[in-house]
Amino acid sequence: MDINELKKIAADCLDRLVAAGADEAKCLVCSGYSHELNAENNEWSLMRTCFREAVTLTAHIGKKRGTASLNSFDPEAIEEGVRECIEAAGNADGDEGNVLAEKTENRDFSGGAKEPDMDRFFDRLREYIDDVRKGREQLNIESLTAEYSFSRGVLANTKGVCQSEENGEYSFGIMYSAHDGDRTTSFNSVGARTDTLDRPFIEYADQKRMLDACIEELDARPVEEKFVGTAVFMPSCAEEFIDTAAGLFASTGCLVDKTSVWLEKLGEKVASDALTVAFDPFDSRVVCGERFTDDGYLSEPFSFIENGVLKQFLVGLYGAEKTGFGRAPNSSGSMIITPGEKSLDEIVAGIDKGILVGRFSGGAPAQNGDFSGVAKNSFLISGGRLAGAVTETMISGNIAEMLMNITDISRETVCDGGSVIPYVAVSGITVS
Amino acid sequence: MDISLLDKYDASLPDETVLRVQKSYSRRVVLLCGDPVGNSSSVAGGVCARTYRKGVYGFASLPEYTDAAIGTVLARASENAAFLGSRAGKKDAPLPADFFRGSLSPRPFVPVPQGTIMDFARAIDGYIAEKYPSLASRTVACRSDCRDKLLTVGAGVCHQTMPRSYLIISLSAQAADGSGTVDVFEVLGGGEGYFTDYYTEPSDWFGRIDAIYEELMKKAEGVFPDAGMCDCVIDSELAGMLAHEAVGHTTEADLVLAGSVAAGRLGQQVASEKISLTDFAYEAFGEKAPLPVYVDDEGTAASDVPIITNGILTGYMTSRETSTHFDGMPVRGNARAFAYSDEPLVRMRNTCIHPGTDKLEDMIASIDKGYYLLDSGNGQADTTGEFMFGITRGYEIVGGKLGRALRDTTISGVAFDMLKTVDMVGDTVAWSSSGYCGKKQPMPVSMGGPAIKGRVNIGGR
Repeated sequence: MDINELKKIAADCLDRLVAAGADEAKCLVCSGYSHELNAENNEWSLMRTCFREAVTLTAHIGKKRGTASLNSFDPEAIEEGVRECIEAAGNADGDEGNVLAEKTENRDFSGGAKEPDMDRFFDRLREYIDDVRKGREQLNIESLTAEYSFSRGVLANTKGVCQSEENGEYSFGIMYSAHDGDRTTSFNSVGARTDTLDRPFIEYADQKRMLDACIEELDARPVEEKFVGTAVFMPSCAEEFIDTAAGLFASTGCLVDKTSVWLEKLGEKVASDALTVAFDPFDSRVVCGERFTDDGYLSEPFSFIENGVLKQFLVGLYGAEKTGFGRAPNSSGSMIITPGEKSLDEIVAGIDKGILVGRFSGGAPAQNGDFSGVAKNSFLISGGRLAGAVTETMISGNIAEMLMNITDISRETVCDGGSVIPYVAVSGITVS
Repeated sequence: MDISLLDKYDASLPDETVLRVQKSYSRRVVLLCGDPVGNSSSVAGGVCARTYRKGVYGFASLPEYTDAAIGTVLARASENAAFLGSRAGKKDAPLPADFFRGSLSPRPFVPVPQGTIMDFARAIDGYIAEKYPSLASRTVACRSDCRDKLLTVGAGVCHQTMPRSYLIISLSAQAADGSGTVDVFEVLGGGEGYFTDYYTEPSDWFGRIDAIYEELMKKAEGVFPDAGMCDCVIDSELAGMLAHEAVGHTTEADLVLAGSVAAGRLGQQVASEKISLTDFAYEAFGEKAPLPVYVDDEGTAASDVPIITNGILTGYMTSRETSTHFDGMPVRGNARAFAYSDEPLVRMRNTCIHPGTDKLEDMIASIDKGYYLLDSGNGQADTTGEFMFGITRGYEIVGGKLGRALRDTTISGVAFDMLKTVDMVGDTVAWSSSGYCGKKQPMPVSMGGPAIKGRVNIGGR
């Protein structure tokens, strides 16, 4: 089904919603397919093909909103979805945040790999499995999941918005651990997205370093004493912490109920001068980045935190209406952290006592940012050097304070096709 | 769902092929400080086929139920098995079979109107808003979902419906020390069934809400625990999470094959002899299990898996293929798929530590300095058995008595090490069934247990 056919379905959905009683309506209509290859314990196990259809309907009756979704373009199924959607809206209370995007410019976007080359994809994956294990005999790929995915989508509303996109991409990810006799490491995972099969997959992200580190983790030991020191977060872990901060302090829910500790901080310092975070789906390193938002606005890059100053809350149209803060220019999915000047080695060399954190397994942080959890796939730093892998080691702190205590950001960055993230060093972390 | 959709394919299915039709329904209402931030329904369904050939699986799905769609997924699954099989270099190996043969009589799907759920949520929210106006925030969420599926492996068509419904509230208040807000999150009732099976009269739940508010006020005055190893009474919800996250996952056969801590330890002492742990299929301790599974998504008849028996590791959970790696280990219905487009994976069902004979008050009285831990916000565990649970509700124990409430903290440990320290096991089992287990796909599971007493590492501030 091509884009024009999807647009016809979208228009039909909007007509049906209005005819059924909606004052305003929005719909998202998507189709696509995926081919997935799986391996377990270094051996192929499954090939899966899924064809998809999806319709999400939203109706406003006055300021009351209802949503219904279905996975069929069958007219009878759509009619039933319309009935559900109108019923849901009719039973809701009004909310002044329920508005639709006004029409600006409608665009048709297209990108990525439009057709899969499954033979070549398979060859790349077979090569990848070999590359991962070359020289790392103790390493086990517990699972490999790789996919070619193609999707088309149309987002339209009754104010004249009609955006469309179609794109295809490859993605792969592994979960792995190392084993040697009775010794076994924590699992870890790595992966990337791409729209080309030109490069060996082992060259994406910082896999070689992570895989080598996994072998070293076979010798992991608990830290001998509790201390307060500097934690260097590896890129995927740094991204997770900043994502968590964004959710706790800058997202719609915590701003609407006013529990965010950043509520009064727009335009003020919330982090060290060293930190600049942007969301840029147009960055050339991002694969198939977002081109329009869930509301139907054309996406644009924006700064979230610039030299430590909070520049933008991460709210969509609903959140903007509810809070009075400006709408974020995209859905905050492609994080780009500006690199620093020091190398990772130079940063580590400057730390007397600390920890290099590969993965964090922690409880959901408290609303004020207090967190504690286990540092996984991590290494002790002592006297400016890495001093062996650690196990059963907890770290704790406060995420808001952590951002203020960033001491260094590395000049190396890691790109996995979805974000570009350096190593981030933070002082004042309790290690026990 | 009409069984005739698959009946005519039952006798003619190719060897080692599973054909499944499934429709999944859900309804969700979320009120944030009274605002309806979630008010949605969804339905997603389709057909899938999976074929096993030359040691690999081919799978395909389509979002339709027609004969043409069934023909397409059968052909595509076969093509995929051929594509991968010709490249994988594996050999054909027979898979063990213990297919469900018989009939199930599932309760018909009952769509509860969205308005009924919204009215109920609104009444609950109104009560909280009026009685406790000083709260920093409140969230009331109602959700109801159902998976309705037909499946055949050529041994008769099985029909199961799996509905669940829950009311969840989250309350926040300012901490007494001015450090921000504290919150309490709790699932009120619910379980297998449709929304109105559990929730018809909002006032039935007001007493529970009052109790949650009292807990929140204690937590607002709460303290952080002293970090380090300590004696703890871990109540049922956490014991269930320990059973599921820290032990259960390590005994899923695919993770055992990947080298989990349970690999090669069958027959060994891995816990105190007071500990027995089972993954129940559809009955537990003489009653219906919270989320019963009668047949899995490979067509295998479901039965219980005794994982730990009196401290000895006694079993793994398997699929048909993974069972071939463990000589003589039976298949017991643990291969489960979430959506119509998902392939079956080795999953838990109703995983629970067996009750002992101790009274909760005696367990608390036996600790001079320690903690009584009740609820968890989330938990993660490693295949090494190392676990971490966020603790959202707990109390100090001082001189055998409960003391001040705790602020949010974390506990960690290594499951088999921790379970060896258990010296008291409570006599009452409680279950939780509202969560989803995440492992490539989400999956409704239940977990439970009695209170247990042992030693864990608790985080401070």
